[in-house]
Amino acid sequence: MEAPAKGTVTPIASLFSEEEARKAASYVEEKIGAKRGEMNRLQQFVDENANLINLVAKLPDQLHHNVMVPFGKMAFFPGRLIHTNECLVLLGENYYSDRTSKQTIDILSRRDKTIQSQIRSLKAEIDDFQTEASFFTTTASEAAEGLVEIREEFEEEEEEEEDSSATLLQSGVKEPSGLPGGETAEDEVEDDEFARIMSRLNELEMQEEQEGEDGDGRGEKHDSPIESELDTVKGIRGETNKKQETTLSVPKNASIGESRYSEPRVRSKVIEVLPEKHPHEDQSRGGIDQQNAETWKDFQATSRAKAKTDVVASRKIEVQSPIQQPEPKFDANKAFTGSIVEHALNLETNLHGQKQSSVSQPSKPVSRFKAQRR
Amino acid sequence: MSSSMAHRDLQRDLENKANELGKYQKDIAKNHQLRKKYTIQLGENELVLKELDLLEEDANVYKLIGPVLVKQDLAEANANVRKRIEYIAAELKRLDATLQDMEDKQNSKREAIMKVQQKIQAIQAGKAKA
Repeated sequence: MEAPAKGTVTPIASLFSEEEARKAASYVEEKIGAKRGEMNRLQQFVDENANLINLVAKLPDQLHHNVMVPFGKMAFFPGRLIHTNECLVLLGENYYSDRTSKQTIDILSRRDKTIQSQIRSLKAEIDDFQTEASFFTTTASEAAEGLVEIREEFEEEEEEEEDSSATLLQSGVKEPSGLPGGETAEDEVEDDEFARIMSRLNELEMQEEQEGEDGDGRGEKHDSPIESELDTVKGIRGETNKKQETTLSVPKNASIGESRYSEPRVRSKVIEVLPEKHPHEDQSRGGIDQQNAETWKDFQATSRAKAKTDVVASRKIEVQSPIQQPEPKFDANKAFTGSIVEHALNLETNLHGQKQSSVSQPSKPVSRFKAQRR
Repeated sequence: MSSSMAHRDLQRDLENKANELGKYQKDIAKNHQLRKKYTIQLGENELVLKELDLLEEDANVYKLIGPVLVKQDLAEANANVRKRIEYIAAELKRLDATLQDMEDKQNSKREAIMKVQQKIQAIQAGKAKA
C-alpha cells in the first residue's frame, strides 16, 4: 500500500559517511581539549589571585613580619618585612603604582572579575563544541547502524491513510536493515487472500457510497451473488494492473443498504491492495488468515450495520481470521502488482479503523473482533 | 608531442601556483598570530587604563624601563597608555585589511589551481582516449 512514489528513503550513511562524521567529531573533541586547557590556565590564575588577595589582606595586620628573604638561588637570610601597608602593584604594560593594601585588594578583585568573565565565555564555547561533538558522534553511529531517512509528501486527501502508514513506518525503521518488509512467503499468500477479500468488501462499501451520493434508492441486495462481484473485482484488477496510483473504480451493481449512511459522511480514501495471484478463487471462502486491521474494522462496521441480512458472511470471516497481520502495506510485491480500490467510509467507522490500525497488537485479532461483536 | 609539452607546462604552472598558495597561507597564519598578540596587548592596556583612571591624582606611578623603575607623572602615563591603545587599534585594523586582502588572493590562487588541474585532467583524458 506504500506507493514508492509517495516518499523517498535515504540511508543516512549516504549523506554523511561514518568515517567523515567520526573525523569531524574527533576534530571537535581536540578543540574542546584545547579550550579546556585554556580554561584550566585561567582557573589557575583565579586561584593565585585569591591567594594573593588573602596575603595582601593579612599583611597590614602587623607592623612588621619576620620573613626569610631569598638571596640568590640558594640562600635565604632572615629579614623583616616593614611598610606592610604599601604595595608596588604592577598594572600591566610595565606600569607600576604605589598602593595601599586596601587599594591593592580592590585592584586584584577587579582582575578577578575580568578573569571570571573570560572563564564564563570559555565555558559557553566549550558547551557549543560539546553539542557539536555529540551531534557528530550520533550522526556517525546512526550512519553505522544504517538508519534511513524517510521523507513523504503530505497529501491532505489521504491524510488518515498517511497517518496509519506513518506509524507503521516508524516501527519499520527500527529494524537494522531500515527497510520495511520481512514477511514470510506464507504470510504473503495469506495476505493476498485476505487483501482480496478486503478489497471486495471495500469495493462494496464504495458502491454503497456511490449510490448514496447519487441518491439512488436501489434495492437491498446485500447478499448479491459473489460471482458478479468477482467479475467487478477482476475488471478493476485488469485496469490497474502494474499501476501504483490510486484508481477509483465505480462499479454499478450490488448496492448494499445505502440507507444506513444517512448521517454526514467524511470521505477518506482507503486503498486496498488486490493481488494478482489467485484471481479466480472464491473470495468468501478459505484461508483468510491475515487481516488488515483498518479494513477489518471497516468491514465490521459494515457488517454490524447490515447484521440482519449479512450475518452469514461476517461470521465466516470471523471464523477464518485467527491471526491478524496489520502490515500488509509493507509487501513490496503487492504494492506493485495490486490494484487499488478506493472507497469512502463513514466517520465513525473510519476513526475506529484508524485507532485500531495504529494501536492494535498483531497477535490477537479474533478476541478483539469477538469482543466487538458482542 | 605538443600535448605532452603543454602538459609539462601546466604541471610547472601548477607547482608554482601551489607554492604561492602555500606562501599566502603561511602569511595568513602569521597574520593571525600577530593579531592575537595585539588583541592581548589591547586588553592589557585597557585594563591599565582603567586602573590609572581609578588612581587618585597624587598617586605614584612608575614605568619599568629595562632594569629601572622610572617615576612618571600620572597624566603622562595616562596619555601614554591612551596613545598606545590607539596605536594598537589602528594596527589591528591594518592587520584586518591585509588579512582580507590575503584571503582574497588565496582564494583566487586556489581557483587558478583548480583550473590548471582541470586542464591537466582534460589532457590526460584526451591521452587516454588517443
